[in-house]
Amino acid sequence: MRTFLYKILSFIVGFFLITVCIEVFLKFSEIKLPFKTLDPKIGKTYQSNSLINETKEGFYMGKTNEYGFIGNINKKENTFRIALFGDSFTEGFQVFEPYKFSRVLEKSINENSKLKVEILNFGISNVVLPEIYIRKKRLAEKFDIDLFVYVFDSYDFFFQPEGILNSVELIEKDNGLSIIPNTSKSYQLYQKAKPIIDNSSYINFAFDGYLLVRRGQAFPKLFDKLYSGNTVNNSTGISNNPFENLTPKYLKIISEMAKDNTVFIFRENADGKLKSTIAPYNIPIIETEEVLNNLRQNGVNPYYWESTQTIGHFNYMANHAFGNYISDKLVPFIKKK
Amino acid sequence: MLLIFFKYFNFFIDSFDEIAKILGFTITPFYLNIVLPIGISFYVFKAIAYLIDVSRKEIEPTKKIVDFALYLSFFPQLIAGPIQRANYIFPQLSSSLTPSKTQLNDAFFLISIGLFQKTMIGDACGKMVDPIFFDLSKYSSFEITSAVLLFTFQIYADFAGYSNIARGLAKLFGMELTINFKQPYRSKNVKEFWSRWHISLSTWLRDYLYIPLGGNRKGKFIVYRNIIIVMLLGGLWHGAGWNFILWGLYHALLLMIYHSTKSVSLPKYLNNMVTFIAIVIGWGIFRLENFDQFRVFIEQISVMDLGDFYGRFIKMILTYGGVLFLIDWLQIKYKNDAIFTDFKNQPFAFGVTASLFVVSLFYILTKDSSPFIYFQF
Repeated sequence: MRTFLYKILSFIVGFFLITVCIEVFLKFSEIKLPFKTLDPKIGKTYQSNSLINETKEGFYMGKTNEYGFIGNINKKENTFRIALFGDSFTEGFQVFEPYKFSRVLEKSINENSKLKVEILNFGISNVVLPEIYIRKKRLAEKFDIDLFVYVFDSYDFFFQPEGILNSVELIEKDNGLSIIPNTSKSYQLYQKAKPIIDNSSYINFAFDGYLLVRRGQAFPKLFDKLYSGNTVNNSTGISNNPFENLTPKYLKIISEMAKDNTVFIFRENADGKLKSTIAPYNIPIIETEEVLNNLRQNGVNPYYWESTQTIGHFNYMANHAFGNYISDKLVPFIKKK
Repeated sequence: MLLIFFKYFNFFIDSFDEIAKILGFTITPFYLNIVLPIGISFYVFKAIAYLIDVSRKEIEPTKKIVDFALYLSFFPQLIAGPIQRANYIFPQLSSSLTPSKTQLNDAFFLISIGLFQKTMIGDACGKMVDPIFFDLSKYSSFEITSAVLLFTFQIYADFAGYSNIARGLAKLFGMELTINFKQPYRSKNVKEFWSRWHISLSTWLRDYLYIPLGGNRKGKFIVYRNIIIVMLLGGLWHGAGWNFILWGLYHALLLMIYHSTKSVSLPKYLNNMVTFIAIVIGWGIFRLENFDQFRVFIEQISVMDLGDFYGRFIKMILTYGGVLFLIDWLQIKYKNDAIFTDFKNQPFAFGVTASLFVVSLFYILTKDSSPFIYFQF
């Protein structure tokens, strides 16, 4: 019995000793940098002054500022400041900073017009409308923004936030919207473990694995061609007219967004019914299917990454074309100041 | 002929077309629309070795077709080696293929270490190397230089990792495969590097090409000629591309320099360093896929700019290199690629390797591991 316990203990000691070494290795090699966090006020965001190294379809290296996003926060004089919101496409963790469409856009406006513009990119992956709204209210409004630009996909208007822990929630209250803190036990537990979770590469690695398991993508990835899982369910669970029947909360978010100097940009085209739903709020809409189709006609799939042979976010050419295209379209809204 | 047909036919036609264009001729090239059989370079070389060994009467021809088929196609080493010799495999096939306890333990250690090398070093470096090499114009000189160094780590970790996994898998079936790597980046000269890197290929080239050509015996000129032929074919063996030919010729040049300067003695560490730098430059040539990329590489490198992230690149290079060399050091210290075989506290050793195995699985799960580099050869 004693020998058996000694063996078990030895195994555990060996396992954890190397796990600690691997934690150091993951950080120094930048294989997995823990830069995400749940801020008690902003919700899902990035840690301040945090290093980022992402290698999915492409390769990105950067560092967040003290507010947890990427960009210069000191506004220059006589500069028109644009806040850019959106998901991982806007975030652009596939190409180095100068090649993101947000930077191409900024450069293009500054070079091709007499305007002085700077862009703050608040894009963050895996967010939908309520989370974007919270980010705008609680983070972007601190920075004297002149124009709010939201880069959407039509589906952002009816997808609900992924049922994974968040620190804040957007609810309807007194005919308006209210951001309330999460008081659930799981969030309280997270808060207690936050120093470890937010700083441990290994735990973030494991959390990414957990997300894949939740989404049912773990086994196909792990076993690749050897995996013959359940038949794919093609039903998306989307109702027949999702864009006509947006939830009251989502309509209120749009209504709130319309109160500012706001532009909606749609990746590809906005759904026709969604456009009709948004129309009463008088928010200008820019559609980008034209520029992406131009790329396709020239033999470039805007989502294809030849270097890694994957389909995903905008590649270099798409970022460049998209940034230049929307710069022309945005200039009239900048003059409106 | 099989290799030439499948692997080099289109390359030769393409090269002929390019030369014709330069000379002002227009031809309509005929390309073969064929799929390259996976692992062809490996099993063709095994088959050649078998035929030559039989004709030299070094081995008895086998009468068992199943044994011969298994020799050629035993799955752990089918697509990326090691290139086994018949005299090493056939005696094993005639014994009972039951794995011993030591073999089973070693199998777990080798597979875990190999998987860690492959994923956490090879793939992780590759994730940065591939995008940089794909579009060199978007990166600074320092970032490109770092990519060459990271590729140096990637190709070693990827191939040595594969060889360890292959040896581990073979042990699960009671089989032993030959060692393919002996800490090659610790070599003191290029000749030593080739006796430590992809050993099964370099010994094949030595035994079936270099020595029959005359080896070191017939004067300086013949030696140099033999080196050029062997290294040229060695380069071409890796693939139908000018980068591989150039890489082979570059190593031939290094070997010739070594032969003419081997009497010059330098401190050991200086020898190690010079050899390592020469090998890194070689990997740069190996990784550049075409002349256009080569041109951009030279242009970008000559700018001599650091880029925004040079400190982080230095940190990553030291980390990946440090861990890779730490594994090498442990393998030397314990005189075993499986490192932990003779550990007194075996449960501790299992805990250590289980941790390596688990983190490698996390990597495969969350980061999309890449195919082994040598699968394409």
